[in-house]
Amino acid sequence: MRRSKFLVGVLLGLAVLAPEAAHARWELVDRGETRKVARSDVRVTASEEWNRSTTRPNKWTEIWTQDGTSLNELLFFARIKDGKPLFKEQDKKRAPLPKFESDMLPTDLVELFRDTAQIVLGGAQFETGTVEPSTLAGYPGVHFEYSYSGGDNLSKRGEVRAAIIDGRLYMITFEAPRIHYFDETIDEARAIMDSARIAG
Amino acid sequence: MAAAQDDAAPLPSAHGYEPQDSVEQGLWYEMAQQEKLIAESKLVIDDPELNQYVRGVLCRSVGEERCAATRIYIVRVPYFNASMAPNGMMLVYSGLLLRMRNEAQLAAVLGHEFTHFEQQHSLRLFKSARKKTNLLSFLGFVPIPYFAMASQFALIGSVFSFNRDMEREADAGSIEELVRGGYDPAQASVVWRQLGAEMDATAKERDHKSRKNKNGGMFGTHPRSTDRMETLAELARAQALTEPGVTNAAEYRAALGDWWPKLIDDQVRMQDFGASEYLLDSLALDGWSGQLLHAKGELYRARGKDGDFDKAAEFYRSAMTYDDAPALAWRGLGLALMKQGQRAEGQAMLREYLEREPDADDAALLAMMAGES
Repeated sequence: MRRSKFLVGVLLGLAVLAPEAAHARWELVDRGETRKVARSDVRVTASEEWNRSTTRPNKWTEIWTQDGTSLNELLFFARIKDGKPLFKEQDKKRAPLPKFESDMLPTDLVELFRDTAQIVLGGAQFETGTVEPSTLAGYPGVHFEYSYSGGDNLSKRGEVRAAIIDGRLYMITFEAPRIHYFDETIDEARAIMDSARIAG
Repeated sequence: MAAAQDDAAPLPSAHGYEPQDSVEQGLWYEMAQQEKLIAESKLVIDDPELNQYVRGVLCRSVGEERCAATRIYIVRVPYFNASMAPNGMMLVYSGLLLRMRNEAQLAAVLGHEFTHFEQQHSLRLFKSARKKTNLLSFLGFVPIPYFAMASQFALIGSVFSFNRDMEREADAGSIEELVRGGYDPAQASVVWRQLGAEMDATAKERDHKSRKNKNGGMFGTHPRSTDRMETLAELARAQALTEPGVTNAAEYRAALGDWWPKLIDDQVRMQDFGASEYLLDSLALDGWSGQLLHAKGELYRARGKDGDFDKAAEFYRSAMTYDDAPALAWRGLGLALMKQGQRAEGQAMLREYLEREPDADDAALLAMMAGES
């Protein structure tokens, strides 16, 4: 259940998260703190306080939240290799997830995320919004919006910043309920995306 | 029809039917709660014309009076499924609509579900299971949107696991309803044949065994699909029809109207290349269109195996020769060409797309990729 907590946790609600919560530990990220994420060479700077989960969905991701992952959630993806999916696949044979490829075009990164979400969310109507060229850690990439309503009928909005750096996919996503929470934190989330640097 | 039904007992499809005992009341109460959630769901397709059409197909079969006990919710979920709860709530998945080739096939599936409902199969299951479990765990059923995680085949038949006899009864019921509605009863078995072929196509592409003869709910079934297909065909042949039933294929295509491209798009995104290609080719039996060829292009471009970008480019180019070619075909062709290393040609196509769709969501990114900024 962990692979796609950012989407699925919301969909399935507390029933799913509860068993995990017992194991997850949260550590404070201080205002102004710069730190490495997802045990990678990426550093970001927070200008507000965040909580980072010491439990990671998989080797290449890390979760941050301010008020709980269903209310605001930052996900850091780092160093995803050619041929790998964004999340661990629960059923490789019957519900395979699309795979990252190092020669993907910027538009492919949007489709990779969209098609992954569509499968993970099952029935939800997942839509991408405005897609623009952008940079991540100084590398050319893409920034895009998305939205969906999950099984709990809660409308969510999200934004994604992604780039391919030395053949690996790096990505930061932010997601929150459309009402109130998204607007409250999106500026900070974008600032964190902007702050990303590859440690030299 | 209903061998198991006591003639004296009222059918749940009867006007003014009320739950007969506390067990049934409990089941209805729970279903009413679930129905509230469904009714509020953003996945419900509220297009009045489409709803009226689907309802009309059911009512034509079962008759207005029995039909009145049913409330139909069409949900935008790209799986092959339909279900009916004991309180008369019927769910029709958009993925079912994509897979039906005509009105008679839709009527067959709706009639099948209606028979489960009218013969109170879920209530009977619940009563027999009751000693072992409570209502909620029996239901285990949280309606579709909550099943978001499930893979396609876990999802199918997620509601009630009917036993072999119940499925047979529902199959027989579907034939009777088809005849009552003046539909061609042979279409019931065609539904299963199509599903079997689709499952084979999925399995071939993914290199695993086809699940068409596995157990698992409504469409994978206790009587194996192949057996069931034959039984249905025999039942249909046994009907002494004074005049052959209709299939209403043209009516069906027209009624789905603007929904086709959306349903196709939903399917193409499912990363099930085998099934998607099978479905597109089936739809193309009525003739290729710009929409269908574009969808094939998207399918091949998304898979991206050796030679797929070439094929995708061909499909997009063919799509462009049709009047209904979506502007997205130019985008697709541009991207496919760029993947093949034909950068300049690809960029030209992206510029062409942007001229057609200057306000596209990804216009800024495509403009950059096209070398415009």
